[in-house]
Amino acid sequence: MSDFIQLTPSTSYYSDSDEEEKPRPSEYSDDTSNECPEEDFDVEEDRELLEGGGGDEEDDDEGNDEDDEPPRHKRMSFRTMAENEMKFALNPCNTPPPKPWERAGSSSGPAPFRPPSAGTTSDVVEASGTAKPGEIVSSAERTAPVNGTALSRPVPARPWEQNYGSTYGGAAAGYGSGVNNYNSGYGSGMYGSSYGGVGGSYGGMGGSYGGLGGSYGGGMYGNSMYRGGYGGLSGGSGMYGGGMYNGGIGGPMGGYGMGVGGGQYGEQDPNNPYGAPPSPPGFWTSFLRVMQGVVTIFGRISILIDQNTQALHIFMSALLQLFDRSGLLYGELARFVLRLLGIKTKPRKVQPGGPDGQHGPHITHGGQNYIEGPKAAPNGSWDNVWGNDPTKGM
Amino acid sequence: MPVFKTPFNGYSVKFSPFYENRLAVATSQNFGILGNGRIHVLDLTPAGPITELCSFDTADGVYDVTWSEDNDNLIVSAVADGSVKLWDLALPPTANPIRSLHEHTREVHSVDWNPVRRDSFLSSSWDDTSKLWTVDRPASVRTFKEHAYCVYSSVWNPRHADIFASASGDCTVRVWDVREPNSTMVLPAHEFEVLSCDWNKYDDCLIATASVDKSIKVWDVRNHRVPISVLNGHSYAVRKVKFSPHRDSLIASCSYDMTVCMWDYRVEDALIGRYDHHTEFAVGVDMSVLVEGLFASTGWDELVYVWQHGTDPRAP
Repeated sequence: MSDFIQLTPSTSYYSDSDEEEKPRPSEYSDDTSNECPEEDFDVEEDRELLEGGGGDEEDDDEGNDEDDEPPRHKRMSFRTMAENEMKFALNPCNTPPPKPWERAGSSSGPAPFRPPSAGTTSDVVEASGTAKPGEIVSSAERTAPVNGTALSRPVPARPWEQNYGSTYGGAAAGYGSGVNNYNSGYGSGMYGSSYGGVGGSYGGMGGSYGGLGGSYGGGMYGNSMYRGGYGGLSGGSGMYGGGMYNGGIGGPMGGYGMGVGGGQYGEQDPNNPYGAPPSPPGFWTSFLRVMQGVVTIFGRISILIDQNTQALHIFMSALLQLFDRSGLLYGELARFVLRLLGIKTKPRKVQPGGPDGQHGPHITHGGQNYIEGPKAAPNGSWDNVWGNDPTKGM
Repeated sequence: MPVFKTPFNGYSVKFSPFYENRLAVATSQNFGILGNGRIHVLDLTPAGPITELCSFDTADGVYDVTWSEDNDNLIVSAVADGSVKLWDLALPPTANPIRSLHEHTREVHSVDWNPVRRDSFLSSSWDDTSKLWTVDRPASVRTFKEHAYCVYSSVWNPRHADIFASASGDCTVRVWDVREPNSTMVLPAHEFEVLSCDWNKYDDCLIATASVDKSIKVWDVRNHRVPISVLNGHSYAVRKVKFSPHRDSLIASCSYDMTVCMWDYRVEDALIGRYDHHTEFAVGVDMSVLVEGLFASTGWDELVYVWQHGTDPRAP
C-alpha cells in the first residue's frame, strides 16, 4: 500500500500536528466521545445525532483558510491515511460501522459461489490468473462474440457507432455509409460518420465532398481512386467521370484527412503508413472535434432514448404539438428538412403588397419574390416621415 | 425534511457509510448530454437545511458516485468522459481529483465500492465492460467484457468479497466471480434493457433487476429460470433499484415516471409506498445504512430530497 504515497498528490495536507492524534470518524459526529462508530453504533443514538446532536460544528468553518486550524475531520487527508497505514490497519475506526446485515444470520441456503478467498483483491485476482492490468478494450474487440452465451434478443446497434452520415445524407447521397464502414474497421467510426454527415448536409455538393471522403480514405489506404469514384457516383453531381475527377483533386485534401486521422489515432492504426503525421490544419481539427462532439451528443441522447423509450415518445408528441400550435405544420416541417438537405422546394409566393402599391395575391416582379415586400407608401413616400413633406410646403 | 438545490441535473445520490448525516450527489449539466459535472458532498444539519460541505467540478457530466468503505474522505465518481476520478474531501478542490483513471472508452455509468473486502471498486461503462480497480494501483486490475451492450451498473455482493453482478442493455444480468475468467451466470432477466440491479443484503442469492420494461424482478441465482417476484407499478422505465440495508424484503426504486417507490416483494400488494415529490425524471435513490428508514433521492429537477420513510419529502 505504499503506492498510495506516490499516487497521491503532495499538495497541502494537515498532518504535522496530528501525528499523535488518531483522527476518528466518530469525532466528527460526537466530539466528546472517543468511541469508534462500531462501539456507539445505535440507531436510536444516530437518530438523536441527526435531529439534535453534534455534527454541525464545522458548518461555520468555511473555506480553507490556512491560518485557521481546520476541523479535525478535515485534517485527515488521503495522504496521511497512507502514512498512517499501519496505525490505521490496527485501528478499527478506519472501517465504517458494521452493516446491519452483517449482524444478521446467513442466507436462506447454500450459495452457488466458491467461498471467498483471503487476501487483498489484487492478490486474489492475480492468484487466479485472470488479472489483466490496464486492459483497454477496443470497439473491434467489443463486437466479438462473447462466451457463447445466447442473448434474449438481438442487440441494438450502439448509438455512437450508428451511421449518422447515412442518416443525414440518406436522402441526398449514400456515400456516408461507405466511409463509415471503412472507418469502423480501424476502430473509430467517428470521423467516418463526420464526413458522411458533411456529405449529407451539403447534398448538392456531394461530388466534391465525395472527393474529400475519398481522399481521406485514400490517404489511409493508398487507394484514392476507389473512394473518389465512390463519392462521385453517389454525389450525383458528376456521375462516374466526376468521381474520377474528384479522386484526382482529392489528393491535397487527403493530406488533411490523413493528418487528422493519424493525429488522433495514429498509434492505434495499423494501416497508417506514414507514422507520425504532420500536425493538421486548425480548421479541420476543430471541425472534426465538433463533429465528434455531435456524435457523442447523439450517442448520449440515443442512450437516453434507449433507457426511456416511452418518455421520448411523449416528448416528441409534445414537440409536434408545439409546432402545430405555432403554426408550423407538418408540411412546413418537411419543407424545412428538405431545405436542410439541400433540396430546393418551391418557395411560397407570399407577397403582401408590391412596391408599387398593388395588392395582388401573386404578383411577380422580374422573377423576384419578396417575402415581405416594402410597404406601399402613401403619396410622397419617405419624405414625410420626418414631418417635412415638401408637398405641404412647410 | 430538507431539500437541496443543485445547479445541474441530479444523477445519483449516496449516503456515506461512515457518517449518518453525510451524502454525496453526482450531477450533470444539460441532463448529462453536454456540459460539465459537479459532485456535491452534503451534510444534514439537525432540524435545518442541507449544507454543502464541499463540491468538485468536472469537465463532463458525472453519472454516479460511491463512497470508499476504507477511507471516510474518499469518493469515487463515474464521469461521462470515460474516466473514473477519485476525490479526497480533506484536500481543497484545487488539489482534487487525487486520481483520474482513464481506461474506459465510453461514458462510465456507475461505480461501486466493495463493501466486504473494502479495498477495491467496480466501474461499468457504455463501452460494454466493467472494470475492477484497487486504490493502490494506477491501472485496472481486470476487465470484464462479455456484455454485448452498455453496462449500466455493477454491484458487489454484500456478503461475498469476490462476487458481483452487472446489468446491461443487452437485456441480461451477469454474475461474476473475480477469480473466474468468465461470468459464472447469465440471467436473461428482461425483454428490454436492464438498467440496474442490486443484491439482497440478507440473502446473498437474491438479485433485484430494474428494466426499461417498467418492471422490477427479483431472482434467485440458484434457480434463475423464473423470477421469484415481478413488481409492476412504475409507468415508465425503472432507473434504479436498491435493496434495503435494514429490512430483507424492502426494495426502493426510482423511475422515469418521476416517482420513487417502496416495495415489499414478499407480500401480494408489493407496492407499499409511492413518493411523487420529483417533478422530473427521478434517477437516483439511496437508503442510509446507518439510519433505518432514511431515504435520499435526486432527479433531473435539480433537487436532492432526504426524508424519513412514511413522511412527505416535501414537508418543511
